Amino acid sequence: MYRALQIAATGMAAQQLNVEVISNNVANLNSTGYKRRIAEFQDLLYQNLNRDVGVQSTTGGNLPPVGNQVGLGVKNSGIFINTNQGTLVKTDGKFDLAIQGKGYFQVTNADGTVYYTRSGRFSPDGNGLIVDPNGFQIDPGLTLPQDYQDVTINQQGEVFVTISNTVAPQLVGRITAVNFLNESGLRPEGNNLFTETLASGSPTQGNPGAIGYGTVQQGFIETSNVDAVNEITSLIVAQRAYELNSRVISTSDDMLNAINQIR
Amino acid sequence: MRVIFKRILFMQASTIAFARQRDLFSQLEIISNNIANSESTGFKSDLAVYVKSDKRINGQPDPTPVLAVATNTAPGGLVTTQRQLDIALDGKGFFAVETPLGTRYTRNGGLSITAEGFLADANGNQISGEGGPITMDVADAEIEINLAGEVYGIGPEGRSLRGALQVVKFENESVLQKAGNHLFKSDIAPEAAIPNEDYKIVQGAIEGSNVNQVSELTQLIEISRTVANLARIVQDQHQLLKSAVSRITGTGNG
Repeated sequence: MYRALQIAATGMAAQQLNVEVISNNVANLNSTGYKRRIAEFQDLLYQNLNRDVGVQSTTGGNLPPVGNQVGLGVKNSGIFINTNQGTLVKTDGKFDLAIQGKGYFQVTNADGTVYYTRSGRFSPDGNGLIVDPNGFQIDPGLTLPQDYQDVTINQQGEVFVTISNTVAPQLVGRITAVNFLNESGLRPEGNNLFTETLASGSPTQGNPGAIGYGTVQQGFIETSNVDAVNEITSLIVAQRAYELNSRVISTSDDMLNAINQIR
Repeated sequence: MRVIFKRILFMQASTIAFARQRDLFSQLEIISNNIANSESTGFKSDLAVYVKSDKRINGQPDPTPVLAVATNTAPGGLVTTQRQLDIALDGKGFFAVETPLGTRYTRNGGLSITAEGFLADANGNQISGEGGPITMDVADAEIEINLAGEVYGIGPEGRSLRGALQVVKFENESVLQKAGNHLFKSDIAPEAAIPNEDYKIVQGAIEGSNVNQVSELTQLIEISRTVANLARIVQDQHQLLKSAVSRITGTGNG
């Protein structure tokens, strides 16, 4: 009897989640390397009203061509990550790196946890170690000599430094990239970081520029791939769907009220 | 009250009204499920249909219609997402999905890749290819799915074919039963759909829900009004009976 109210409640909860996902996208419109999230929905279970589909209504009677299954609402099937490339913006920062194409930077925090990120805002710390804005070291670690003058990072991720009194730039290390079979399966950890999960598969490490891996662009950062127009449109659709579900609740209430007045 | 309804033919109007009201509440559930799923990928709306009952009560045909639920398999609008693994079927047919309970069918092309590299639906069920499941390679930088459903991985060896999506069609789509989680099941085996003739696959888009919000809202208003009207009929019958009883027995002022 009250199934309609519960069904509409699942609809409202779903649209609430949709709005939350959209608002997080909008909030991260300017976050470096942020990837747009999309909430997808699917129908819940079905219940037969009084007979299963394909059962005769009476013995020797006609076979009704349709059943009478009533669905029990909606649920979120997953929040997909749209891993499309964000626009690269020139910053001229020597340690601002962007990956053009597929791949993630790998960073490690003090207790050895490995994180993956598309946000390439690195800088050297007091000891010359290259770290990300959270202070996590780039992995494999890279230390710059104290007396370096200039740093050049090529598209293959090789790091060259120019040291005073020497002519030739010196190769001091390499920035690598990692790939995953299922990027959508990575667990977002906040601060633009992701960790590996059973769903993402194991990371495979490679050199930037190698086939299957993107190239490193020095002096660029990757902006968020959120499209404001798209998000606002989705927001309007979600709001209308939410209103419609609330309308079901008020109509159910009216109907129950009408029944309640019979005596 | 129930005893009186059964014994007095005069009360048949009320019984019909009650039966109708019960069905209207079921119809309300169907509409609320449609509205709740108005943003569900590949969702097909349900329609309440009333069919004349073939039962007979005391030799008389049963006056109350039987409620049945038909699924509207009309396509939903295509929504572009630009996600490589989002595909939509433009035309007839269904994707086949392998679940632990057997083969199921869906129009939801929001695909993902499992940790083992299989192409799967949002719930991790493998999507069937023409020759078994389709496996992608970790080095596939890009995935290309053409109109005929051939899946290519663009990786170290260039563009290589990883498999072709299996698309099936049903002569009579009313054999499909909803199994929840965007899936349909069927006891009757489907036939193969022909690419370019029956369907085209569109990459970077998904099929939205086919729920028509305006028509659902109209039906919602309609059933709400009908329930109120039926309540009036029951109320009037009650008054009529009450006055009849008091006139016959000479009690009250009738």
